[in-house]
Parts: sequence; structure tokens; C-alpha cells
Amino acid sequence: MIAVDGLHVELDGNAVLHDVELAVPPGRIVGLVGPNGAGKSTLLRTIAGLHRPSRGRVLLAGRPVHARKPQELARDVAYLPQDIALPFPFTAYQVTLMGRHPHLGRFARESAADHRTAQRAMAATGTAHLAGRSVATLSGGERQLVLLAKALAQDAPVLLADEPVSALDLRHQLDVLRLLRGCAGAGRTVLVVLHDLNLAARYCTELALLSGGRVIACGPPATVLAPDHLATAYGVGAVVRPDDVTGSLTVTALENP
Amino acid sequence: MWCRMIEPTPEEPLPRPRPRTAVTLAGLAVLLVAAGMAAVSLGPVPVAPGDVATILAAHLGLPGDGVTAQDVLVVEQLRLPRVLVAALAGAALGVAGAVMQALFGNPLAEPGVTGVSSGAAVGAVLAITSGAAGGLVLPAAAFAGALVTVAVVYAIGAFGRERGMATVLLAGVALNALLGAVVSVLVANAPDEESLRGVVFWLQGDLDARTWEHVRLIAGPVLAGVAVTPAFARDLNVMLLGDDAARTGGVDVTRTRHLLLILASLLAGAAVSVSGVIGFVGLVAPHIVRLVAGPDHRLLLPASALLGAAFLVLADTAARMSPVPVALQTGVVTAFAGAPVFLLLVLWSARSAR
Repeated sequence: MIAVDGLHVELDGNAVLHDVELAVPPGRIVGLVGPNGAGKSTLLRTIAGLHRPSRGRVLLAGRPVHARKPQELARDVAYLPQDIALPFPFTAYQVTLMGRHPHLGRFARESAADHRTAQRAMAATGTAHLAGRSVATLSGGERQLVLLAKALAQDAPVLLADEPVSALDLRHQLDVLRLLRGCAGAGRTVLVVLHDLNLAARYCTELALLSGGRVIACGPPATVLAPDHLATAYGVGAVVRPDDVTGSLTVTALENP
Repeated sequence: MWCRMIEPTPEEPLPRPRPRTAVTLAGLAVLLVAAGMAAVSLGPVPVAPGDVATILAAHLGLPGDGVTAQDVLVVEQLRLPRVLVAALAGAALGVAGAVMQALFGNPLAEPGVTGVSSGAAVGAVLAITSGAAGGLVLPAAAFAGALVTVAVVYAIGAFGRERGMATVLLAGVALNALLGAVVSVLVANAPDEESLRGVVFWLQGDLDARTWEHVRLIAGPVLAGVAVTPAFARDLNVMLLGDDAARTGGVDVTRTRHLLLILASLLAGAAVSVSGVIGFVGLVAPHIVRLVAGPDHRLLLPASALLGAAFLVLADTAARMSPVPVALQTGVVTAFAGAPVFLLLVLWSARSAR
């Protein structure tokens, strides 16, 4: 259970999030959507413990995340950044195995079970064939999949993903979102920043629409993706209707007259 | 429009790569011992490796027959301490280089390039000129000088807010020039210049006339530093993913970084306090290990210690054995070997950055 309680966050003196309230029970996959600069990534990063709130707090199973030690927090929360830059040639397998770091003592080496977890994570993300490749030489999309494998190997009940499909092709976008939905189905709490409202509507159980650092709507996609909400957030008119094939909502933005 | 259609072939999963930690470390240990034996037996008075072994074995209670008293003197009082100082300083510089490369996210960082060794030299020269350099005061002062310089380099790097190469290296250029000037002034104005062995010793390090006293001075801090850093090897691996990924991956980034910068300063300071500024060991050793055995710090740190030690022992032997009219300092030899490696890395980084 994630509870965001009266959260204000300032970055370099600028207020980025205002009075955000959010409660996400386990088993849900919640999409954070909204225009550029709305505060989606900041909200996700604050929940991950990367920003200190100026007011309010983030509670995980009733305990504030900012009071917890990184190693202990990492056993409960896995965070998937948009991209990384590795200055040295670690292989995709080595990076995936780093997901086990919070579960290991200072002098421990990875057990056979840790290796199995990493291998399963690579198989689940379709990256097993990249195991021996240097992460620095992978394409942006491949690297994103390897980072997802690492996050899965971390085996935490909460998974936070910052635009996990931004560098992915059509098929991998669906694969990754299906995988994240599966994680939620298995009882994890998944928060995912998405730009594509159609994918968000199709794969998320709930959406939170942010604009100007505030949550202006949250709930099932059908209530959040209302034309007046979208007009407020994005400043464009939109037609929202069920998709012929998937049955989930699709959003068509209208050019301003 | 036309294009040729190719059916994609199913991709074979690769077997999990297994770095051979034990084999690599054993091989490097053998290299270090061989380099040490060669260094002790070579010189104006050659001592056969067999005799060296006999002289050393005598300390273990084995019969030390068949060696001359002169050989014993040369080995035990002249060459062995010098080789041990070289090995300790090389190990310290190798580990300090590997740690600094990881912490600055910069393949070119090492104590010499970043100015940290120059800072240690200022500390050591200050200790000597102020007459306070008894016992562990000398390495402690060098440690303090290194620590202050590391803090400055780190602050500049943090201010530049990038993990790229330029900021830290340019800061190093400026700091090396500034601190080298400080060393020159301190040495030139020292009341008793003899005790300082001249400004050249500090700016272009040398291992001439090193004794058991120098071994005793740095053995403690070097062995402690080399032994403790591998405890943070996995943290260093994860920290290379970037601060956010490291923190959310379970590493207390700030605390670990501070601790490791202190350890790297301790190692660099210990090395500089007895050898002056010897550059490039911290660059060459970790990079060769990464090429051969990969970047995992669990292997990289101990392997850089062993290879750095062997490299400096060999470089010092080359400096000692240079033909008569030529006089080479140890730091000159490491620069001859290390500068081309540095240039290759610069070219390679510049290419891959594009």
C-alpha cells in the first residue's frame, strides 16, 4: 500500500508538486499521465525516496519512505530510471544481477537462487540473448529492457517505472506493459509514468492525471480520460471513444481551430 | 521502392559469462612474486634468484648456506626494502585509481591526473619543512593533503553536475599546476633543503634509497586500505549505474562515496609520502585488468592492487637498470609507459562519446 499524503516537493526552489494525495493498494497498475513538466517523474522519484518532500510524506505500508535506509527501502521498492550511462563495459547479465544487491550482505556473493532470479528476469523481459553483451553497446530500447530485468530481479513488492516504453518499438511496448500488468496481477503495486494515453488506458487499472504539479483527476481510465480533464491538462480538445479492437479507450486529440 | 526480405533467425541464449576470479588473482600474484624476485636479483651486484630465495628462506628457519655476506647485505638492506616500497606504493596507487575512476564515473581519473597526489606531496613537504615529520606524521600529512584535494576535485565535479570527463580532468590540470608550484616554493625556501631530497623527487617520484623505515611507515595504511576497499566492491558496481539507480538499488550513495574518497586519499597519501608523485600506475593497472577480466570491482580492486604493485616494481627496476650515462627516475618510467595508455584512452573515449 502506497499512501501519498499532502505532498509538496520543491526542486531548486521551484514548487513542482502541490498537495498531492494518492493511495494505491497492492495489485494495481497505476499510470501517471499528464503533459510535459506536470510533475509525473518528480512524483515517482519522490515515492522512490529520491526527493525529500518539503511538506507531507510518502508512506509505504504505513512507514515514511524518507526515514528508511536505502538498502532496506530497495527491498520494498524497485525504481526503473529512463536510461543510464555506464562508463565501463558491464554485461547485461551483470547489470541484471545488480538487482539482487539489496538482498545481499556486504561480504556475501550471489547464491544460485540469486542467479536463477536474474535469469528468470532476463527471460521474462526477452533479454536473455543479450546476457553477454556490454550494456554500453546496446540500443536505447534494449538497455531499457535490461533495466526492467534488473528492476524485476530486485523482486520488490512495489515497482516504479519512469517511461519504461519511451524507447521501445511497437511490439516491445506491448510486451513490457503486459509484463507490468502481470506484476500487478501477481500482487505487486506498479506505478508507471506514461506519455501515450492509449497505452495507459489499455494497460492501467487506474490513472492519475497531473497538471501543473497537481493531481487533477484520478480513478479508472474512463473517469480520468474525460474531454474536459484533457482540455484542462493539455489545452487541447479531444475525442475519447472505445477502440474497435481492444475495447479500451482511445484518445484522439483535435487540432486547435 | 524495393527491399530484400530476410527471415529473422531465432537468437540463441548466451551462456552466463563467468569471470575467473581465482585464476586471475593467482596469475597476478605469481607475476608480482616473479617481478619482485627479478627486481631483487638484478643490479650492479647481481644475486642469482636461487640465492635470493635462500636468503629469504633463512628467515623462515631454513638453512641459509652458500650465500656471501655481501649478497645478504645487498638483498636485505638495499634491494628488498626498495622492492617492498615499490610494491606497497604500486598496490596503493592501483586501488586508489580504480576507486577514483568509479566514484568520478570517469575512466581517466587517478591520483596523479586529478592532482590528488600533488596535494599529498604538498602535505608531505609541509610536514618535513615544519620539522614535524617524525613517525606516522609524514604519511598522515600526505593523507590530509590528498583528502583536501579530493574534496576540492569532488566539489568541482559536483558543481559541474556531469559525470563526463572534462570537468574533473580540467580541475586536475589546474590543481597539478597550482600544487606543483606550492611544492616548488616550499622546497626552494626550506631551511634544510637536504632533508627534502629536492623538488624533483616530489614532482617526479622516485624510489631511490628507500629503507625498511619507509616500508614500516606505509605498510599499515596501505595494507589496511587495500584490505577494506573490496568490502565496497558491489556498492561501486551499482554506483556506476548513476546516483538515482544506485540509491534506489540499495546503496547509501553519499556515505559510501565519502568513505571511499577517504580510503582513496589514504592510499594515495601513503604512496606519495615515501615515493613522491608517481603518475599513471592508477590508470594503467585498472584498465589492463578491465580489458582482461571485466569491470566487476570484486575482482578489479584486488587485481589492480596486485598489478599496480607488479607494474611499479618492474618500472622501478627499469629505472635502476638504465644504462650508465642515463639516469631515470621511477616516475619517469611509469610516465613513459602510462602516458601512451592515457592518450589511447582519451582518443577512445572521444570516439565513443560521439
